[in-house]
Amino acid sequence: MVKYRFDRWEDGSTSTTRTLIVTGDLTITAYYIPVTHQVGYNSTPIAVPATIDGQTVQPGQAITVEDGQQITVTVPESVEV
Amino acid sequence: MPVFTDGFENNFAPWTGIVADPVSGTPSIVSSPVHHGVKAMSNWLAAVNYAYKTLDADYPHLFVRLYLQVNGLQDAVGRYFKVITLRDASGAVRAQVGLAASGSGVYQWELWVEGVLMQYTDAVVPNHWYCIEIEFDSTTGIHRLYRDGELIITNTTASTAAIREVDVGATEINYWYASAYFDCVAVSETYNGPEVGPTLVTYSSSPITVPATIDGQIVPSGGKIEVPLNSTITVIVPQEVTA
Repeated sequence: MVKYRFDRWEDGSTSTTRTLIVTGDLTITAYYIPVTHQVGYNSTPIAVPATIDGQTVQPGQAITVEDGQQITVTVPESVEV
Repeated sequence: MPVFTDGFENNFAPWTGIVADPVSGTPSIVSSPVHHGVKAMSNWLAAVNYAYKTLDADYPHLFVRLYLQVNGLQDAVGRYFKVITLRDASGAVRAQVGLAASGSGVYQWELWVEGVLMQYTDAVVPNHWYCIEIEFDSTTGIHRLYRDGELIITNTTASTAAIREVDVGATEINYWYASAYFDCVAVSETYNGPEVGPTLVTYSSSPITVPATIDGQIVPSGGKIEVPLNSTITVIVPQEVTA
């Protein structure tokens, strides 16, 4: 299950409540976008990159994932610095 | 106050009766063209044939509105047909509305009151719905005819009559040889005016299906609702959903 949030109407307005005067047939459309989260990554005391869902992420970086998305984070077992 | 309204959706049941010509004119119900709903009345304009409604009381001030369409026009001078006749309780004709030809494609809407005629020249076209409304008012002696909401004729002939019967259809005829269609009849003590709405509001959401609430009514994505023309509506959608 993915959480979505209201983004805008077809006219660009962004309030979830909309008041209209109907002067003829009309079509209105509500656009939704997935709710996303930032996943930040760090390693300590040394800087070791991780792989998140196949994407290399440096310490101090963040990636955006959708709400409800399962992610896999992989770090190396050992590193030499 | 509405006195009588009918759009022929139940055929002639709401009417007191019909008058038919035994040879060439019987009012009939058709499914096309209609102004509103799924039925209208059709009358062949070669003989007197109409539907009539006896009202519950005598009305000295009365408005009768209908929608009229003809599928053919006559150029010959003197051809006419009348579409509304108002009678008193004795059956005497007190007012009539009609369309007349005066040649070369010139047409006149006509408002007769107590036999006195007033006309308005108009560019009438076939296969087009006209909203025609007569105001008969013997309390002031000012009688009016409206076409599509516009006042086109004022007839100030004095009358002491009150209206008891409304006739709609080919109530009088001089060989027009076309079909007339009638729909959305409204009889009232106040001005009816042209029909307003309903009009259609279609709602959708993207990329997921989220219902909206329109004036308290839940409408699914892809759904439609009818609302009165020129009305104000409030549409509410949820801030967040899980899909």
